[in-house]
Amino acid sequence: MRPTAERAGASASWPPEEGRVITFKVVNGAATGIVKEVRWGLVWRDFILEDGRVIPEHKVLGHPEPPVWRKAEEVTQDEREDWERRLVSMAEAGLDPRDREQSFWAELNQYLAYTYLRFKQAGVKPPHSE
Amino acid sequence: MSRPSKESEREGVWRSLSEAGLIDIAPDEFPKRIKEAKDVVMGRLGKLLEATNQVQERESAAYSLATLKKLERTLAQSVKRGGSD
Repeated sequence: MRPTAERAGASASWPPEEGRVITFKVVNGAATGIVKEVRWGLVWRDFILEDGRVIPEHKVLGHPEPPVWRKAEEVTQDEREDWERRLVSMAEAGLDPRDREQSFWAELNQYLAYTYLRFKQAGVKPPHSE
Repeated sequence: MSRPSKESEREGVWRSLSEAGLIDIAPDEFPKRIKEAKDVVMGRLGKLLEATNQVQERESAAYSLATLKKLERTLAQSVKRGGSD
């Protein structure tokens, strides 16, 4: 997997390694967790915590600004189709995407961002922008 | 020819996602965001159908549209089930 973004401006210790404690933004403040794994999604990196929560990199305090991302064309067809199959099976299993910080919420969020970036046409404004 | 720097390209992408409300989707906004994503894909698919080439891109768009419709339908059913409890 080849991320588009380079690490300019990010410290040498980013992303935090497995076992490190991270602080991340939540609706009403901040929370902490222990990193189990950092992995690339369709657009951005997700931090998988030891307790199973999935935190997008841009919510983790200390992330590079602007955050790193992947170009839609770097995502292979197989990767995208696997992601789509996973989403559909999570939906069919009755998982609720409204459970923030869980896999379904995280994966659906990335899929919608990826789909938008991949298929939007140049010059077309987002649906609800001014 | 001038090319935007990597940094400004990154900023542009995040701004675009932020304006579309897709960086941190609020839990109750998924149905709306899925509908908007469908609109984006349908718009692109319409253009692709006018072209004689780009068959693979057309198939990808059609596949994504089908996935979004399936997700929309399944989530609507689970919300209905949740609401009737």
